Amino acid sequence: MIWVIFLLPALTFAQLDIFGYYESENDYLQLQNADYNPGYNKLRLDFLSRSSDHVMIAGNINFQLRHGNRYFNFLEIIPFHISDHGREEFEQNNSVSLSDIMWGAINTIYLADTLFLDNIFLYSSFSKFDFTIGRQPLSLGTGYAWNPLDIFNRKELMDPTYEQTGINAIRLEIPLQDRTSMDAIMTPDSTWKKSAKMIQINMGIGSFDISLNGAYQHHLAPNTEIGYTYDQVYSAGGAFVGELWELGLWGETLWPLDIDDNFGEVVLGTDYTLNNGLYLMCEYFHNSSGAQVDSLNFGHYINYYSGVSHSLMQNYIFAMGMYNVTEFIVSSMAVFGNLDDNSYILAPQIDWEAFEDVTVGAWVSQSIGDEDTEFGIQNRAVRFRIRAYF
Amino acid sequence: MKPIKIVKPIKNIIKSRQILKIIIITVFIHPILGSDLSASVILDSMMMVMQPASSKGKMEQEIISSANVKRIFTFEYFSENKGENILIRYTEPRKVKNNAFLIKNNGDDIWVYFPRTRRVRKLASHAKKQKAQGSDFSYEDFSGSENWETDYNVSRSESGERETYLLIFTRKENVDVSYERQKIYVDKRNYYPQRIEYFQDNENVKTLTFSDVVELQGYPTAQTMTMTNHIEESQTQMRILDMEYNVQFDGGFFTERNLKK
Repeated sequence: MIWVIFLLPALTFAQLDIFGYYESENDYLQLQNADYNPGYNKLRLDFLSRSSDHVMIAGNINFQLRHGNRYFNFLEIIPFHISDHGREEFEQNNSVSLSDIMWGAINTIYLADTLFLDNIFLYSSFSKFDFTIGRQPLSLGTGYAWNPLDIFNRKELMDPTYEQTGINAIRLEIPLQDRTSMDAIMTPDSTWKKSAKMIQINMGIGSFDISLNGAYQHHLAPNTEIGYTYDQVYSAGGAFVGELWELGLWGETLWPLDIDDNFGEVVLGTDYTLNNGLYLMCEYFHNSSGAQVDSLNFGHYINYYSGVSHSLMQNYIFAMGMYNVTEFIVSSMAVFGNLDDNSYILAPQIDWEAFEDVTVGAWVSQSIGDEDTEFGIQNRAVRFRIRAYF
Repeated sequence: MKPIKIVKPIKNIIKSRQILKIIIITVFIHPILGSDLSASVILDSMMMVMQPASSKGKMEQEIISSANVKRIFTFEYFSENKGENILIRYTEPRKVKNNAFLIKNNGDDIWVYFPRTRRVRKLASHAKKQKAQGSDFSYEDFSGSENWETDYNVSRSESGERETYLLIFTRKENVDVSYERQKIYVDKRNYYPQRIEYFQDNENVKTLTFSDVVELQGYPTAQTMTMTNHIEESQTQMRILDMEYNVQFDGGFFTERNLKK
């Protein structure tokens, strides 16, 4: 990785456009048994070079130095009776007896400092197709808080639009006719079988953009006998975005083609801007592979927080109102929650453009719901973030 | 402020003559000079001089808040079919560099491109009511002049000024546009608007003033457009840094694919 730093001066002379941002974030989280004060300083260094109208090389390096609490115990966000049951199962399956300290240590992650090449890709535009190869941003689907079609990423509900880590992929986009194109993506893995593939046909019909998708992934699937197992999953789905009766409408779904795999995800959303500029949106998400209230177990939490599943349980809602208080201050109020266990997070937010290239954001979140529910357990949190672009 | 780039002088003269012809015909087909021109004739003349078939340029947008805080955005602007299709690509500041908007069918179809995610997403047309980068211009204000004919009923009234005609636009029923009424003061000499007053709930919420008008390739062109927000007491000034009219674009220029390039 260090070679990249030494290469930078040389790249500058190669008429490279270098830009990026510095970001500092400080959080305060009050959970069931403890308070956390994590934070980080991050430098994102972007570089972009266009050797012609048809070729672009782009990438970015992320440096992230963490401070405050660097150990995070997942058991803090899992109800005690569920984590206790998970511990019993773990001890039985592994024929061990764990002390509280050891059980806590197993479920604790260390938030390490990072320095990595987040994206590095080559984009080539030919007359009949566009081709992108390398670690690149992939963002699929039309949903705001959830994207069933995005088999490559996972979003954080507190900040769904935050940039995601680059994905090593090969992408081919072929325009077929006006507002119709084909898009094929493959993320190479150790074997062809383990490599995820996605193909989508995008088309415009009236005021709607529509996509039809087919996907293949080596994915964790529910199994009646052993809970979950990795399997080859072929899926089909689609997405739409447009408007009806002046309301913005979008939806997205992905379902396995094997009738034995009766699980899938659906998102439906709507939005509207009032004449005074107040923006309102609401999104519903259903994940049939999520847990039901009475069958929720430790494994569901692990699958969700490790990014294997897009949600813990089955039915969710995300609603938001946003308004430009002044030219440089945007206020918003987000509410999201789990409709199965009736737990919610209320999150007001202020974003201030302090200077031309400096933004300051403050979030507060307050949970609503019982202590043993998904969001009720996350009592309250405060997030402060400053970002300066260069 | 940089002077705007004047290009293709011969074409300018030809275009000037064409516009002159239109104005002469417009004026002479009416029995009494100017005074009883109908609203639709004035509107047609205004749209003719105001919106060339296509354009390509660089613009600067300066937001001045009520507290006199200033922000400057620079963007490339491309339009075709008299503003029916528009592509805007921000170049400054760094925060929004390469963010792009494709606005087609007079604002009915809007796509936005975010370079950090390389994602193009279609927005519902109500998004045109939102502020463009926090400015006093909404995306709707960028839309082509066709909207004056399709979304509004136009009538003429006395402006109370010697040098202007006053056109009053009243929103048609069941049309989803932000302003219920617009008043356009049109310069009698060249049919170019001097100012537009926008009304919501019978209140003059914004005024767009056209100034530093020069002739560019035969078209009167305001080098500075100032949108004053009377509610928020703020102002946004749009300045043309470079502009070229009647540009030939490739077939795929106003497409989602081109947003990513």
